[in-house]
Amino acid sequence: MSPVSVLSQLDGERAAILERAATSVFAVESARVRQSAFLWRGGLLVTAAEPLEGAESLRVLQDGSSSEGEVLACDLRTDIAVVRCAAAVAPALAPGTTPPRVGQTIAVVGRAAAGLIASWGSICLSAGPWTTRRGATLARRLLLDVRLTHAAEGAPVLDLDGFAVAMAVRGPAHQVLGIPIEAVEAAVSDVVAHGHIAHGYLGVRVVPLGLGVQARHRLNAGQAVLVVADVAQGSPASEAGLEIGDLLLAIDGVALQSPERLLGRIQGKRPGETLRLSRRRGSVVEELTITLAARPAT
Amino acid sequence: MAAFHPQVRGALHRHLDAGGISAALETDSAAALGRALTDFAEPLVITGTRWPETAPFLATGRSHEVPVALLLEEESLDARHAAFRAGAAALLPWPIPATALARALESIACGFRLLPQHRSPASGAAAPVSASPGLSARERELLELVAAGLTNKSIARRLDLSINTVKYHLASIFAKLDARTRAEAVSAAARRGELML
Repeated sequence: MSPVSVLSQLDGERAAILERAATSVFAVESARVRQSAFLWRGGLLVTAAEPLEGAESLRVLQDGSSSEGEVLACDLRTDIAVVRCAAAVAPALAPGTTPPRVGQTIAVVGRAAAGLIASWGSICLSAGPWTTRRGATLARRLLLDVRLTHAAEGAPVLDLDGFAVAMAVRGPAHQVLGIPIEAVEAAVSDVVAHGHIAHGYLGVRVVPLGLGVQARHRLNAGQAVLVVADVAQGSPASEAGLEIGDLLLAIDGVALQSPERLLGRIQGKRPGETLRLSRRRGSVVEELTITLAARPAT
Repeated sequence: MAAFHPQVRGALHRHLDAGGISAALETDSAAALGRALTDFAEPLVITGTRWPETAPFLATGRSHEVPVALLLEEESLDARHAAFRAGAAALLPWPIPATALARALESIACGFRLLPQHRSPASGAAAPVSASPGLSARERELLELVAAGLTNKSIARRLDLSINTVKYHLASIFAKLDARTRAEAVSAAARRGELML
């Protein structure tokens, strides 16, 4: 009888984790790209949004089977897309219960044309909260020390118990980012409840106002501020007392120099979350705390 | 505060008081104004109400690099253009509500320039900020739903349109906003002040 080494036992355990997850991991294919996805609820897959932008339907592939998937939501801010595929009925992955730690061992399990594609590595950064490039506020920023091919983008990040702690996406400068699993769960819940991923909504239209040197000094502002051009009735903005003509200087302590930044900050938050707006009316600067609503359906 | 007519000065005085602003000087002479301006740190000049009679006040203010607010009784576009070209910081209608006047003065003290409001004859309220370069009401409505994160299919369902009609509208929106993607279109609309945020 040959003793089984601890190392080969460990390898067996690692392989078992991947095998257990394998049935929940799919490949998805749009006209342009092929990437990975994983089952999060019955019939609902999650994948990376950015490569899919604009796609409405996908092929959902696993071990030679192919079925139709409908893109229900494609949220570039959080980089989460939710896809409905009635044929995907394997057990869904379960979320990790403890927050990801720096140095923790993880596996990214995707599905390429030829089969499973896995990479072991570790979490090299876990800190938060974090505002993505597109302006979404996530509970934490996860940087992963793993290899991530295009085919594996959108794959689940598993801990050593086989729980999903994040979704792996490609970031700038060849970084591999983890979208926290809480954000994935929130997105899927939104889609189940509302049919789309809910974004924050303030209820203002704004135009940028360039400032001269003198005005910058007086207002203690940057090159531009935003002028409120319209306030929607019954919106959080009108309830907070914003009026046409108010100047918006900063949001959550960050100078507001473009409407896009305001858009990003507002839509990056979820309905019910609050933001702090620094508003100037006449010579009075006030800090308003406003609870965002959901954008009303027309 | 400078104005030729005592009645105008009197009315202005009451207005400023109501707006919580005190006038340090009242005069009908551009020369007196010029002398006074050298003494004040952050003066503002209000002149009323006839153009071009008020031009000397404006010129005096300008020569001291002081922002000048002009109150204009007349609606002549020529007068407004001339006054604005001559460097008036604000062109305000006369008569004007006291609070609006106070706010306008605060604004020009901050270095802004204020153009006259266009008033719609029916309501007297300010007309909405000039509408989109070409975005139709339907397109705006559609864009709001795109911003809400709806897919074409859900937009079609919500607005009771066919998917092809939605796509047709979207293509038109993208072209008008010079956008290639939904995200770009939403950003561009926000930038142009055409989207409720």
